[in-house]
Amino acid sequence: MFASILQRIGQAVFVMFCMTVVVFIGMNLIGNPIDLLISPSATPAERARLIAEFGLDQPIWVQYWRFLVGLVHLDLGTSYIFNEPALRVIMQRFPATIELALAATFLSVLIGVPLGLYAGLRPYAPLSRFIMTGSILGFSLPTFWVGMMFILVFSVQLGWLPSGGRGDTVTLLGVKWSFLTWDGLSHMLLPALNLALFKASLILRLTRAGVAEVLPQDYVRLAHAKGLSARRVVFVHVLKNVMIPVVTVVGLEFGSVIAFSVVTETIFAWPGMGKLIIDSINNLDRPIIVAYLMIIVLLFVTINLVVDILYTVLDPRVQFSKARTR
Amino acid sequence: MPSDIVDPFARDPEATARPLRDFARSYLRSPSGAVGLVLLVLIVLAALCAPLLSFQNPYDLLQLDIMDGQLPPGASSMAAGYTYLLGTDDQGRDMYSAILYGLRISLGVGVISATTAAVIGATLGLIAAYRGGRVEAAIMRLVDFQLSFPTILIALMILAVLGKGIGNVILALVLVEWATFARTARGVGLVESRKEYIEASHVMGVPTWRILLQHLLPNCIPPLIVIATVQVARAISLEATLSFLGVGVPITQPSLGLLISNGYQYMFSGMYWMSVFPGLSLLVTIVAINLVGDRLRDVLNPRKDS
Amino acid sequence: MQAAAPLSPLAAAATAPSHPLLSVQGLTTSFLTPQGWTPVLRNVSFDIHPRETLAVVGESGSGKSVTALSIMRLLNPRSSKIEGDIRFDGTALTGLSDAGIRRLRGAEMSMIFQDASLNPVYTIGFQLTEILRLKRGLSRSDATREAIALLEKVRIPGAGRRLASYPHELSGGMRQRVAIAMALACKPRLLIADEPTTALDVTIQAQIIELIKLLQDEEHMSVMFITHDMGVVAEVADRTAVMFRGDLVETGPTAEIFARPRQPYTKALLASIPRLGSMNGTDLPQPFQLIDHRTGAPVAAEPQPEPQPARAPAAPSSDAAPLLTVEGLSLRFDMRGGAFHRLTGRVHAVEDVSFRIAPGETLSLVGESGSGKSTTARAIMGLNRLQGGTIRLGDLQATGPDAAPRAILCRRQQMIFQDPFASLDPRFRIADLLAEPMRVHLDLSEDEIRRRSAGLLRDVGLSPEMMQRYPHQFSGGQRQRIAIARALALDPQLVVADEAVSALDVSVKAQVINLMMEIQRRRQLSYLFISHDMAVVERISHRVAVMYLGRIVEIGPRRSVFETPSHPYTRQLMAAAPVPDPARRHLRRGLEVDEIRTPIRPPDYRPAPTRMIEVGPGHFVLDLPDHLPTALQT
Repeated sequence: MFASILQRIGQAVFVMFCMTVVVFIGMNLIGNPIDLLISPSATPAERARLIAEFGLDQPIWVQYWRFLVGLVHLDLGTSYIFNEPALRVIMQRFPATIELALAATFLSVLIGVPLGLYAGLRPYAPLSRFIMTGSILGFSLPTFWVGMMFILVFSVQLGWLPSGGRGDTVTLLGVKWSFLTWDGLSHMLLPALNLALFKASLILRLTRAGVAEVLPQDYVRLAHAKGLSARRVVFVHVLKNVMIPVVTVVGLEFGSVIAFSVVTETIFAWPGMGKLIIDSINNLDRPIIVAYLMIIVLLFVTINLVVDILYTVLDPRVQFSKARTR
Repeated sequence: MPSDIVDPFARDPEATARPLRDFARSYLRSPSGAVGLVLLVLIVLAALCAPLLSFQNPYDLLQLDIMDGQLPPGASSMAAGYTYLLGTDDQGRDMYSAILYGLRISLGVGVISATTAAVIGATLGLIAAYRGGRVEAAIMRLVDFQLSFPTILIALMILAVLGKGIGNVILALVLVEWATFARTARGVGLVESRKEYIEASHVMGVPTWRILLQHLLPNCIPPLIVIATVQVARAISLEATLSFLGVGVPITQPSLGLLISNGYQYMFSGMYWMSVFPGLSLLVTIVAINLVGDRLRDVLNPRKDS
Repeated sequence: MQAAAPLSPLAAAATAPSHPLLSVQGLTTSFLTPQGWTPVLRNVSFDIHPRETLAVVGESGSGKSVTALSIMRLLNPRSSKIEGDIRFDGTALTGLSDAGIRRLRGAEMSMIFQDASLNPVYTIGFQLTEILRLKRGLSRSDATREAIALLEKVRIPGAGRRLASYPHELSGGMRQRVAIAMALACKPRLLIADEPTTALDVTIQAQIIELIKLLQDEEHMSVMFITHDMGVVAEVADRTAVMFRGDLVETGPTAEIFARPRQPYTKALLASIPRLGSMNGTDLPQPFQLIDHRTGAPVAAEPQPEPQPARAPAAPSSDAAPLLTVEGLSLRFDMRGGAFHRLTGRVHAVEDVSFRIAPGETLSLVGESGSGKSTTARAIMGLNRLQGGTIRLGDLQATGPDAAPRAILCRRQQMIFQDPFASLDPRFRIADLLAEPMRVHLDLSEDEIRRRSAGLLRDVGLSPEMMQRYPHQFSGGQRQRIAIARALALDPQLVVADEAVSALDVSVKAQVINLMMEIQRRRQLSYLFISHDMAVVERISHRVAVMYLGRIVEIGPRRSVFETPSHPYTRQLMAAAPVPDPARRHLRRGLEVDEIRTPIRPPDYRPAPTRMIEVGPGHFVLDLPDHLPTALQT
C-alpha cells in the first residue's frame, strides 16, 4: 500500500513535469513577448537591454531551465498587468473559486443522488420519467446560457437575488469567505446552482444507472430473502454499491467544476481565478496564464491521487496498485 | 438472475428477420426519442437550406442597414420592406437569418469535429484493445492524461495559443474529444475481442485485417454511435461556450454562441431578443441531439441479447 | 476414503403422512411483457412436509426458480403477478402484507442462491451479524459469538478470523457455506436452495450437498432443492417434482420417479442423462437412446443423408500413426505486481503434458477448474503461446522454427467453443458464418460454397432453409450445431471441443453428443474433448486423461480408467460425481473441507520431473506424491 502510494506520487510528479514542458512550449507560441513588453518607440539599445534582462536572447532550453528553477522557488514571474508576482495574484483569487466549486459540488450531490435514487428505484413512475427527461435538459443546457437566464429571471425580472459579485465576506483563517454571511450566501446561490446543474445531471444519471445495475443482483435478492426491511435493503445493501462509483466521479469531476467556473465567474462577475484567466488570455498576460495552469495541474494531480486512495478505501475489491482503470 | 426466468422457447423465430425495420420500430416506441428525431431532422434541413429560408445574407455587410438596428421582433424594415420576425441586432442584422446561418456554423463545427475525433479516437482505441501490450499502454496513458483535464480548459488553452478561427476551434475540439472515443472504443473492443467468436475466427485462420474490419469493428459500432451523438451535442455546446468567452469563432462568421454573446450586453436593457432567440435555437438543437442519443443508447443496449 | 453413514431415521419420517409445512395449490405466475401478461408458471401444485426434501428439477425455462421466488414473494410486484394458494404452516402467504412476509423470510423460511449472493462491499461478519441482530434481536457481542458458531456449524476452518473477510477473499465453495450459515441463522423450518451447487466444481459440490444433508438432519428443516441435475436430485431428495416449460409435469417419491416415470417428458429427461458407471463392460463410446418428450417413444438416430450401414462407433486402430502428438507441453503465465511491476509468481497452467490421439479416436481431458485442460486445448489451436514442448499434427510440425503455416494447420484442426451464444458473430447470417472459412481457405465459386454450406447444415440436423437467419434466432442447441457445422467446413481431421456441451440443457446435451459421435463415425474424425463432467466423458471417449493442477495424473483407455481408477484424485473425482440413482441416496461421503489448490507458484519454483507408472495396457498414472488435493495427502 505504502509503496503503491509512493509510486503514485512519483507518477504525479512526472505528470507535473510533462505539463511544465507543454505549458512552456505553448506559452512560447503565444505572440512574441518582446512586442508586448517593450514599447514600439524604444531604441534598439533599450530593446536589446530588455531582451537580455528577460533572458529572451538565451537558447530555448536555457529559458526552460530558468522557468523550472523559478517554478521550484515558487517564482512564476510578474504579471504584466498587475505588476505583482503572478502567483500572488492567483492565490488572492483562489479561495473564491474553491468556495464556489465546493458549493456547486455540494449542491450537485444534494440534487443528483436523491433524484437518481428515486428514478432508479421506481423506473416506471411518471415522476421518474420527468426526472430523466429533466436530466437531459440539465446536461444539454450550456452553462453560460443557464447563467444568463438565471440573471435575467431571478435578478432582472424578479429582483430576488443579486446578479454578481461575492457580497459581504468574513475573514476566517486569513481568507475571505462568502458563505458565512447571509448576503454572501445570496450572492453565491445563483452561480453555485449554475455550476452545479450539469454535474447534478451527471450524478443523477450515474446514480440511476448504478441502482438499475445493482437491483437485479442476487445479493439484493438475498437481502430481501433474509427478511430485511425494504428501507434497509436500499440504504445499506444497495446504496453503498451504488455510491462507490458516484463518489469517485464526484471527486474526479471536482477539477472539471473548477475549470467550468471560468464560465460562471465571467457571467456572475465572481472575483475568482476563472475570470482572471479569461482576462489574462485576452490581455496576453503570460505569467498569470502560466501560474494558473501550473496551479490547476497541481490541483488535478492531487485530486486524482486523493480519489484513487479514496476508491481503495471504499471498495474492498480494489487493490491500490490496480485502481483507476475507468 | 436465475437463468430460467426468460423462456427461450418463447422466442419468435421470425421476430428479427429485418434488423433495420425492427430497429426503427423499437426506436420510435419512445415519444421523446421520436420528438428528438423530428426536431433534429428539421434543424438539419433548416441549416442546410439557410440561404433559401432567410431574407438576407447576414454576413454580407452591404445588405445590412444600420438604421434597422435594435428593432424588436415583428418590426418592419425601414429600407428593405420585409418584417424582422425575430428582431434585429445592433447592426441591423435580421436575427432570423443570422440564426439560420449561425446554426450552419454551430452544426458544422460540431459534426466535423465529432466525426474527426470519432475516427481518430476509435481507430486508436480499437488498436489498443486488439494489440494490447506496450501499444495499448502508450495510447491509454495519453488518454488518461488527457481525460484527467477538463475539456473546456484544454480547449481554452489551445485557442489561447492558436487564436480565434473556425479551423482552430475544430482542431481544439478534435484534440479534446478524441480521448473519449478512444476510451470507449478500447472498452468495447476489449469486451468484444475476448468473445469466443473472435477466437473462433482466429482458429479458422481468418486474416487479422479481416477479423478487425469484418468482425470486431461492426460489433463495436453501436456504442460508438451513441457516444458520437452525445459528443456532437457537447462539441456544439463547447463551441458556443468558447465563442461566448470570446476565444471561439471570429465575429465575421458568428455561430449561435457568438450571437448570444453579442446580444448579452443588450439583454439587461430590455432588448432580450438578440440573445434569447439564438439561445433557444442552440438549446433546442442540443436537446434534440441528446434526446436522439439517449434513445439510441436504450435501443442499441447490448443487453437485449438473449 | 468415504464413510457410509447409517440410514437416516428421518427418511422414514418423511414418508409418513403429516400436515404439510408448505402447500402450493394452483400457483400461476405471470410476467408483464410487451405482449401483456404472459404466464411462466401454470397451475403448479405440490406439498413439502416437515423434514422432507423436495427436489424441483427442470431444464432452463421450466420455471423452477420462478416457483421458489413466487413462494418467497421475491419477484418484482410491478412486473409479475402471482395467483393461487400458497400456505406455509397453514398461513396463506399470498394474503400476507409485505411486513408479514418479511417477518417469515429469513426466520421461518430462508433461501440460498446459485452464486455471488453475498454483498461484495460488506464483510462476512457484517452480513451474518446483521440478520442475527435484526431478526433475532441479539446484541452486537452476542451476534458476533453466534456468527462464529454458525460458521463453525458449516465447517469453515478458522471461523473467528473469517468474520473480517470480504466475499471476494473466499472461494466459491466457502462463499456458499457462508450463505448457508446465513440461511440457518434463525433456525428456519424451510430452506429453499436454488441451484446452490451449479457454479461449483464437482468435488466442492459434493461437499456442499453433504453439508446441506447433514444440517437438515441436525436442524430438522424441510428443504426445497432446485436443480437441473438429475444426479443431484437422486442424492438429496425424498420426493421430486419435474417441471417443463412452466408446468409441473410429475411429482412423486424420488425412487418412484427414477424407476417408473409416468410422463413422456420425465422418461425423455431420464433417458438423456449420462450415468456414471453405465458403460462398465464396454470398450467403445455409445450414443444415448433418446426418447421423444411428447410421445415417450424412442427417437431415431441422427439424420443420415448418405445411407450407410449402421454400426457402432468404430474402434480406432491404435497401431496407426498418431494424428496428434503432444509432448512435454508447458504453459506458464507471469503474475506481476507491487510497485515496480515485479514478477511475483507464475501460474503453472500446464506442466509437462504429453499425449497422442489416433485417427478416428476421441481423447477426453477431464478435470476441475484450474486443471489446465482448456489451456491445453487452446495451446493446440495456437491461441496460447507455449513455454515448452512440441505439438505435431500428422506429419506437420505445429510448433517450433519449422512449424507449418497457420493456414495449413487450420484446415486440419478446428475447434468448438463452450458458449454457443458467444462463438458466432451476431452480425453474420448463418450462410456467411459457414462460408467464411471456405472463402478464406478454399478457392471455390459462391455456388459451390452455398451447396457445401447446405450440406453441412443437413449433416448437423438443421434445415438449409435456415441459412438466411441470424444466430440470435436459434436456441442454444441449434447454435452449437451451427458451430459444429462451421468447424466441419474445411473437412478437418481433428476437432477440439472445449466444454462444447457444458452450457446446454441435459436433453439438448445428449442430442449434441449423439450428433458428435455420428459425425465421427461418418468422417473418421478425431476429437479432443474437454469436459469437467465425468459421466459425459464416459459416454463419448475412447481414451481419457484426467488432469489436476496442470498435469495429467492418469491417462488410458476409457474402460480401464473408469473401471479401475488408479490415481487417488481420479477416484475422488468419480466419487464426487453425482449419480442419478436414488439407491445411493443415503451414502455419506464424509465432511472433509477441501479447497481446490491453485497452480500459482513462486518465480523460482522448479517443477518436479514427470514420472508415469503403467498400471495396465496403455493405462498410466502419475507418480508424484505431493501432486494431490490437500485432503488426499497423507
